[in-house]
Amino acid sequence: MAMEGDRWINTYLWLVLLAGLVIFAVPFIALLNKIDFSRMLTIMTYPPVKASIMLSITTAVVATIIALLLGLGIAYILAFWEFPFKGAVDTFSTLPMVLPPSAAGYLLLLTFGRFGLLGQPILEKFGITILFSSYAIIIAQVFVITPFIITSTKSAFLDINPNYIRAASTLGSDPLHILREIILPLSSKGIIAGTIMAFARAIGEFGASVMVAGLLQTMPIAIFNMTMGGSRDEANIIAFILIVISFSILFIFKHFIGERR
Amino acid sequence: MSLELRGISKSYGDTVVLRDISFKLKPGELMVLLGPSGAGKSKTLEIVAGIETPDNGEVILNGVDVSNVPARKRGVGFVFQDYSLFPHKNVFENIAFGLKTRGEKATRVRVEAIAREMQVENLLDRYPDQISGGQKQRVALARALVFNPDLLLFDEPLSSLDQRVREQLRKTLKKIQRKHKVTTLYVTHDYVEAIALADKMAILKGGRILQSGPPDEIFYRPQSREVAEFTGMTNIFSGRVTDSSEDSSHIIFNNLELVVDKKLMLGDVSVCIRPESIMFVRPERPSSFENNFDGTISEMESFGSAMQRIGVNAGGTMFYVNVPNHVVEKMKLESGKDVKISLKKEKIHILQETV
Repeated sequence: MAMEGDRWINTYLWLVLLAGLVIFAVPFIALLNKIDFSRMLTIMTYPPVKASIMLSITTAVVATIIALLLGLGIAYILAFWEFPFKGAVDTFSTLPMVLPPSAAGYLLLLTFGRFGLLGQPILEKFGITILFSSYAIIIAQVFVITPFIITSTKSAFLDINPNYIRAASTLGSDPLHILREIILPLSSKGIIAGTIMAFARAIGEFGASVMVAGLLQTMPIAIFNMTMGGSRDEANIIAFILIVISFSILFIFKHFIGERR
Repeated sequence: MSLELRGISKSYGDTVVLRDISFKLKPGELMVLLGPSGAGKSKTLEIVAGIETPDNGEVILNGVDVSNVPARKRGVGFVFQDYSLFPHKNVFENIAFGLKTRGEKATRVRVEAIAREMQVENLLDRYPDQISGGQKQRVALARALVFNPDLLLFDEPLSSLDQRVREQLRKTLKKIQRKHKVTTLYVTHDYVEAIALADKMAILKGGRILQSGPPDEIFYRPQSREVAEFTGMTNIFSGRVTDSSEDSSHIIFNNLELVVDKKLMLGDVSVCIRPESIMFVRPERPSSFENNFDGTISEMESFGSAMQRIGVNAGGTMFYVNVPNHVVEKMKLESGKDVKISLKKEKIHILQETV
């Protein structure tokens, strides 16, 4: 019986391995097969490609910084404050994680469009059009990635023994000092992990940004547009760059988590 | 620094955690709050420290109402059961924490001095996960003492430690408290610890103080059966006063008869006898005490490091007696042996209530 069971398990695992190879590895091989590395530098300096790389990196960096500032504060409130409907606020703050990105983009379109709830007053008061600008892309990315930072930061905050905070306050610490000396050092791992994941997500964001980007293209949008427009060589290179970025981020993430744990 | 609590109460929704807690501590006094878990002892400490706010009542430190003063400004040292040393700071940084927040000078000199006193001067570079439980609690005590707090609060500081370390640290703690003359509030559920430390005690149960006063009064003259049971009064019997004069009364319980040294109302009572108040006497010698019973040893159990708790069956009534090990040896006390036990009439406490 034992041998029989072992055989079944082994067969199953080999099949899984094979299927995994087909689903996960073959697409990369397909890309590498098509990609013309000799033209890589030329294509990378080609203005629309170069612009999309620059736009992706700048918007993702700015969005990650904004999301970090927002996420830390919201996580702090959710972890340490008590108020009515906290559960509802908690759920709502992580809603964008499960919301379809295109729906999120549509909501932002309604909000920041020329006649939108915020778009119109901002245009009238400051003369700034948010929609179809890099601001809109940043807002879309912030909308999508902040929940990642909230979730990981909040659980890191909640992992801290509350007595550390109480001990610090009996020892004369004010809330800011406690944040700096106790809370942040003890939750840095969770915060950094969340931030890395959020940045990766921002670089790859497509669904929400494409709704509000107008003529601007981040790398994921550029892949879509170039594929549809038949510029396959450009799409290949951008896809390759995105994969390299994602892989590096994941590598850093795993390495970081592994190191500290 | 004196401490006074006036009518402190606290509820969470429908659950009342503390009701009308009031007591006073004179400067330098050590008061033990003794009670079972869930009695509200820790909550009381937290309210005194300012890390919890009461619904009603006042906390008065040295005559000043500090009820609305945040914890960081109360100058109170708090020692937690789980030590709560900051894991990312070494022993030195942990001890120095309270000096740094106050911007005080000579941090190194003061940290080293208190570390020497607490015998942790060799551990200053270590991190909390590199030292033992007993050492952690010494560090925690040093951290709470280093800034010369006006008041020290202990929340079951010894209960996670093993017996030997606990007894050692209890002595250190008492010595340090006496030396620094810090007013101290100490929470425990262990009455042995309580009696070893307390100048004053309060028994807490269900968020209320059942009785407070000097330890002797609480241990030998409890006002209720609940207090008696919780403070290790192992012999509690329901009985009846059959006759009483100005300076003595007779009580019948379980077919046994007792004489006590005070006037009592006729009727039902509870008879309380502490296990250390009963003596073994040699059967052949006449006893100098008033109450003597013949019985047989039916149980023996170690109690602490130097005592035995012996159960004597006297005609169906079990008396529990605490006896030092050397007496057990000298009198060759062992299970099954017929013995005579004896107790002074002054040592019997009568509660005029029945349960």
